Amino acid sequence: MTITETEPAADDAGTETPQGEFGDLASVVGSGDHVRIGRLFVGGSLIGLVASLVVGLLLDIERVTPAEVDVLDADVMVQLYSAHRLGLVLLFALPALIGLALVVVPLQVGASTVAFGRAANLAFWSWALGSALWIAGYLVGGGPGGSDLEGTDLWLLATIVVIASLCLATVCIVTTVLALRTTGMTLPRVPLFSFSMLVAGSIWLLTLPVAMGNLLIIYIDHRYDQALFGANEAILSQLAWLVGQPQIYVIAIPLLGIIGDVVPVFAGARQRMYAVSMGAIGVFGALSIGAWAQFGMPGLPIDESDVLGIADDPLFVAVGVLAVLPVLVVLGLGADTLRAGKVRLASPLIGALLTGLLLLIATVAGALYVIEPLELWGTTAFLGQFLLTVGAVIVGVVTGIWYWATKVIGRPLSEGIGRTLPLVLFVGALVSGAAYVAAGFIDEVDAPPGAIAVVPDGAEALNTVAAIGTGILLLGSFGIAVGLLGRREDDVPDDPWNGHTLEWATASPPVRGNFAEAPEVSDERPLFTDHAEEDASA
Amino acid sequence: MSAATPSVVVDLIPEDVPAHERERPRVLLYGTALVLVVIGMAFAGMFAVYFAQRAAFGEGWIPDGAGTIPLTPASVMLVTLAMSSITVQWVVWAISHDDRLNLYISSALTLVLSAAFLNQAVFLYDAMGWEVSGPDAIQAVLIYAITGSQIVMLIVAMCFLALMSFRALAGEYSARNHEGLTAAALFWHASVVAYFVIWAAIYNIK
Repeated sequence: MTITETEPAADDAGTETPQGEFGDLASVVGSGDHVRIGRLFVGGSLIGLVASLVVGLLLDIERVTPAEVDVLDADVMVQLYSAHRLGLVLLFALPALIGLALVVVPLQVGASTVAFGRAANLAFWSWALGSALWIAGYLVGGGPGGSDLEGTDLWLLATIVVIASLCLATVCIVTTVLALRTTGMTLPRVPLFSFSMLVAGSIWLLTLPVAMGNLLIIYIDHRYDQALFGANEAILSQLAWLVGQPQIYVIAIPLLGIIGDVVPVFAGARQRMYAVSMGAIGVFGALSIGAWAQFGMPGLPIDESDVLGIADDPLFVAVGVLAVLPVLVVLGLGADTLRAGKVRLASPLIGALLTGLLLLIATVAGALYVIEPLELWGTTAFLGQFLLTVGAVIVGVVTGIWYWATKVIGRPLSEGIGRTLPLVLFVGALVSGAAYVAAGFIDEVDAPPGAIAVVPDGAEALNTVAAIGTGILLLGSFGIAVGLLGRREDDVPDDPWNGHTLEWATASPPVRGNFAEAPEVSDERPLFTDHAEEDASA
Repeated sequence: MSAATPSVVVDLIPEDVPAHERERPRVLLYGTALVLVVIGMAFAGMFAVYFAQRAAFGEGWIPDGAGTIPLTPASVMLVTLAMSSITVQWVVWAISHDDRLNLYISSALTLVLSAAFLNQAVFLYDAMGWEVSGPDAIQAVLIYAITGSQIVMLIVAMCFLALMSFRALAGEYSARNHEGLTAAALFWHASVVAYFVIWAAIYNIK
């Protein structure tokens, strides 16, 4: 046994860490309990979501009259431009999916805990500290484009800490899937959400450190001489690939897993062509590797024969167009599974279908963006496609929280709110994203408000629509908080949905050690097979 | 069990590893490999910036005179680390044969070699005499960022190996279960490979 491993006793009920002389503080800060750490990540990411959406709404309100800055200073506006996009990825999407995975993945693969439980705990607290410093960097005017150069040093270091923490948590999840699967759980039998986290985590570990390496060089340059990247105006162009195609799809990979796990349960049928679904998730992951697709490098001379840079790169265009296909495959197989079974309409199914639809729209918008004759490069279509993808993640995370609520929260959540919320969030993301894509078609430039010289006719109306969409999204995100409120219940069902995978074979909330006895599986849907055998014998 | 192993050390070695321990998956090894992927990609990101800037700079990337990089100390550092790669593999061989005496000798030797490397790195930096401001700032920033990261990686490898060696001293590892030392050795080899790439791409090619 290593010092980073937590091996809880299997017979203790509940997920609470025993209290020592330091009481509650030690049980939160020093916990190796994957459920507790996962909850912390999910809770923290929801705060990040609200903060990022507030920033987005401020930007959208300013963008109603794109040529002028009405409410805030131009200096602040430039910083909010990066805070909105990077915040939605680093402070919401990645930690939310990591949090969900920390709770669910060990249960799905039949592990007694997550690998390196205390490292996962360290990852959360360093992410929380890094995020606080990241926001502080903006508050003192140190974000990209800001005027406080010492604040920029803080911002750069905080960004490195945030990314490193997310990578550490990802290592814990990927190791759990690779090394802690229970007896009989071969890789082809891993539930789709866990498999999608394996794929997504691998891609995160391959791409996010590239940003970390770049940021380290930028930090040293910025700290001492500013010879390479200048004061701080060139920083965002070094990180733009993180929020653009194809890299932005890395946050959407686990959504395919959530859809793949939810749909068969509410169809009451086995997932059609399981291996093909896995293959589609793998292909989507491979297409989303985006560290190579950097938009430009400061300090280098501009090649006059290649002013578009990556935009007319054949591989970049091909990847952007092909990304639609794996999403279509997963959704098609989901539809076929629904057709083959008897559909039960419940909140997770509604959420999963809306997630899939929004992701499909996002990938189609992405395909349009890279088709050169449409001339969308550099327009707000970039922002629209980003918002559609992030919107799909928001709906997907809500779906996951409601589906696995008894494991994540420890009690079932309101079915009424669970059915309404995904719809509200879907409408908000669609209105906001589609309006910006449409504004891209009339050549509205994607730049901070106030920095746009020419405003095309109709852009102000579309920007107003987009602002309304962001407002709906923000309202929806407050709705998530309302939906999560509630009292602890004593009689929580272990399996409220008649689930198919191993997480439903243990208590809600999970017992310490997750399973009283290590489970054994013989196919990819062990509980579905058990139910079918019981029905047959009856 | 080696005949050279003192009896006081033999007492620390578990008679047999429990069944569940034997079947335990190699979690630490997987985790270490994944962390190395992260480090490798961070280096890839830094090298991408380095090569792009170097290609754009053209002739005279490494200026003559005070800002030059002396190859001899850099090559001696490479030989030193290459030797440490052998001694760290000796650590793994020793524990896989339950040979505690050789384990302690090889661990100590590896740490001494790495300390020598750090000493040589200080000498090399002094000989280079570059400052991260002034006319050669771009080169200095890139070279110090990349080589400094490798030095940090080696220091982490030293701590990792020292920790695992202390655990072996406490009887934690044996021939049947020596995952911790294998993981530390894997991390060590990776830091040596990182330096080899730096030596080839920065110090040698210039």
